[in-house]
Amino acid sequence: MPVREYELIQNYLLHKEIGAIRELFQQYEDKLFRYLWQMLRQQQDSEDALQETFRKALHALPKYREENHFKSWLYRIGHNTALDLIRKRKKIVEMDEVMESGLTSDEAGPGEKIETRERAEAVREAVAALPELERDVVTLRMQADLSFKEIAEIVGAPLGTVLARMHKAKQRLKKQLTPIITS
Amino acid sequence: MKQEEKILLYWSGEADPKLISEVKQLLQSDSSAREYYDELLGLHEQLNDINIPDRRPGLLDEVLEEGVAADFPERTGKKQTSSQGTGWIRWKGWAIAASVTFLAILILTWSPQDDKPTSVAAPSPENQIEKPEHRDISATKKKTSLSQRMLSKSSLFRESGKGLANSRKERHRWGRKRLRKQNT
Repeated sequence: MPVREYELIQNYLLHKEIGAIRELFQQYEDKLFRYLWQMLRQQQDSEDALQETFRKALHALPKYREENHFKSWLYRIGHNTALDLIRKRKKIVEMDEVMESGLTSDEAGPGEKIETRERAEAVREAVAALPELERDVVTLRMQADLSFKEIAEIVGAPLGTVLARMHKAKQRLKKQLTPIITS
Repeated sequence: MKQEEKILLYWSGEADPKLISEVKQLLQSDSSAREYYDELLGLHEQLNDINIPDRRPGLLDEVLEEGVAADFPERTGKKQTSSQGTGWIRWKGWAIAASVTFLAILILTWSPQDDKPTSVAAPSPENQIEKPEHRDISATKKKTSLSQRMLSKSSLFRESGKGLANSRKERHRWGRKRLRKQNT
């Protein structure tokens, strides 16, 4: 665990420094939200899941052990929170919402904008269509920038299994995306 | 370990130096390995380009406000009894010392010696100053007469019903008055 993270946690727990825990959580806020959004595919659910993740982490912090990797620990909480939410609400990935959620590029021209939008939508569709276990690995690796070892800790699977899932997912995505991207 | 697994570990930055050199050689010599690696890079770039909608601002602050408010009273309690134990003892010591001092003052004030001439003159700074002209007979006379005066006025204080503070004030006032009279 990085020394800085450990210091921030200690400052919060021992000296009640709220700024310390804010700094720590802020480091992961963006990427955690991206990951949760990829899992839940809905704005409100993703925001709820993000808050719930931080809430759970805050309460569990006194039990946190130094030898744990904070990033994996936080993402595991986020992952389980999103899964709970999916189970509770019987969430079905709604691709219509994904389409409507907006993708704009102010720098691109009208033709270029449509092309970029279509491509991004295609990528999103392809990722969303992946089996859940593979999608988790792809999202955690490519969007949350977690290492495979960290992903293995989060999803509770051996490293070899995680690598195999990533490989399968990559092959699926290639199959689905190649015609769109090359056309 | 399979070839694609080695490339995946190299791509994620988890390969050890030995594996790094092995994969680098592989990428130079094997076109399919190079293609696999390039596809990973391309896919990563495309996934990062996906625009995630902006989240509502202040999500984290809301959690921190409610979470910290709920957690801190409990932690403060633990802190006082465990990690800050010496501080707690120090505060307790101060409280006891203050109580003892207060009791001592109270006892001195209410002491039966109050009625004796020597102790009556002591609390007043004016009475503590021993003026040369009154050093001998006049000092003794002053103390005695003050005590007598106090005794004689005690009924007034009982009548006023305002207690100790009032009686002491009265005594000092009479003492000062008497001193001035003697000096003149």
